[in-house]
Amino acid sequence: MKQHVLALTLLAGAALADERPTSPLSVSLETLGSVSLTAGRTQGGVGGGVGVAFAVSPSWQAQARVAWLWGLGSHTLLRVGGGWQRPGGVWRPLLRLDVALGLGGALDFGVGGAAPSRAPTLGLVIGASLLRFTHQRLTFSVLELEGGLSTEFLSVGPRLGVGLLSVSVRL
Amino acid sequence: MSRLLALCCVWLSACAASVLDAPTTEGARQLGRQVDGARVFADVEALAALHLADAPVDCRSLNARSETWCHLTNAAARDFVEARFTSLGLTPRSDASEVHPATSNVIAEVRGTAKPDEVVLIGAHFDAFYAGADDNSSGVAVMLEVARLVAQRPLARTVRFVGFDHEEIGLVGSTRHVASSWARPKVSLVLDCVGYADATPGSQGSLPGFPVPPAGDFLAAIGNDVSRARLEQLVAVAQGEDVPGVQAIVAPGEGAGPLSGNLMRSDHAPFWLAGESAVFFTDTANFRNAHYHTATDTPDTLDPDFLAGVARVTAMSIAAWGDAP
Repeated sequence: MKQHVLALTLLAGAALADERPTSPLSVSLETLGSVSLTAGRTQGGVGGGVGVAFAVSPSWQAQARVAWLWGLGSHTLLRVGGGWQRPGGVWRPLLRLDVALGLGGALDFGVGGAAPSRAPTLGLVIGASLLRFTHQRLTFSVLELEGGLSTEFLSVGPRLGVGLLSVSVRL
Repeated sequence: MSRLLALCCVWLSACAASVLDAPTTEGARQLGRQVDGARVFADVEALAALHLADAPVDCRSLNARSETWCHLTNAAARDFVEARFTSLGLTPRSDASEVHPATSNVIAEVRGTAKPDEVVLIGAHFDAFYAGADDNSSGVAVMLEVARLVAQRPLARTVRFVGFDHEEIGLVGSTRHVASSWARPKVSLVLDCVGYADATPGSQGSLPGFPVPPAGDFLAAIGNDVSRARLEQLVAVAQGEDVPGVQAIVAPGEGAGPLSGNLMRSDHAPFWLAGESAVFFTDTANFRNAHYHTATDTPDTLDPDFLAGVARVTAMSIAAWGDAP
């Protein structure tokens, strides 16, 4: 966790010091917690990850993120999606829609007499990042909330998440 | 959409574990159908009576934390298991240890007909508080019934029956067995508290993150990532048979995570921690049974039909693992 905070700090410092023209690409670091609760699987934990985003326009962006979470066994969370952000100003709230894939450790349960699923956890998640601010190349966000549905292909249940802190830098 | 669903089904079936062949499945089911439920329950009654009549372990030597610890017995039940193995024509052995707390597991094997060097283990602890009907005379009785059936019809692999000593003190007997020089089993099945059922909705307790059914009339079959395929096999072989609902649970990794640690409260845990394949059968003990570790854990509180069903699932599982190619 210390290394993660240090990396976030260095990333933010580098972004603020740099005055080159910006590209549509940005990279990010984040810390988060996430849990998927279906009848057939409990998967979740806290951890950190990295991401890359591509600004299609001042308002729209596509993004891919990967995170590693620890709690109920360690697992990898892949999220791919896109979102809308307020096109200008310092306060730039973001709404996004992601497809999430959870791979790895989970507490698995049989459903209806069947054996527990071996499939990865698939989810559809809506995220709202209201406390999100941009200054020069740097964007940071705290307490991004996520909610959606999740399945391990035997049952469907809620997926919940919270992005504790995210820092991204436009390249 | 239907194509997408079909693709998902193909993908999921590809993910499915090793499936047992039809002759193994049918052979396992036939062995399960030979379970004598009345005999299993009679053994529970006999063991419970022996626990009540037995002299308790000196609780001062155990740094007793409560009065319960002064009602822990093991010697008479151990002798009962040993005598039963002998009466079945088996040769019971012991891996006694005098290191405090002294333990003496009782072990017997039925040699495999085709793969005698490969071992399938079934075990249950014979020490108990008070009468210990559910915990764990029920598990011992089921093990003895499977021993009777396998002694009559040996399997391809060797089946080892182990009465574990001093589970209640902290999985001592099983830990010592795992660390012993006995050949490592291919898979182990541990029984602990398998006779209590209550079909009343709301009778089953749980923990956050454990979405188990609300009625406490299922058998929990608990594995970890190492034993997942074995768990899948037993679920398949029990399908459609006259057995309690099997609630399969797989703990991540070796099972020692912060939430799944509750799944390691019996003699399968030393096998898991040694990286070995082990499955645990339980009625979930105190999450269902209010008599757990009390003077009222007596045979009349148990469900004989449920217990007989558990014995059938157990016999099928051992037969499937013992005979699978």
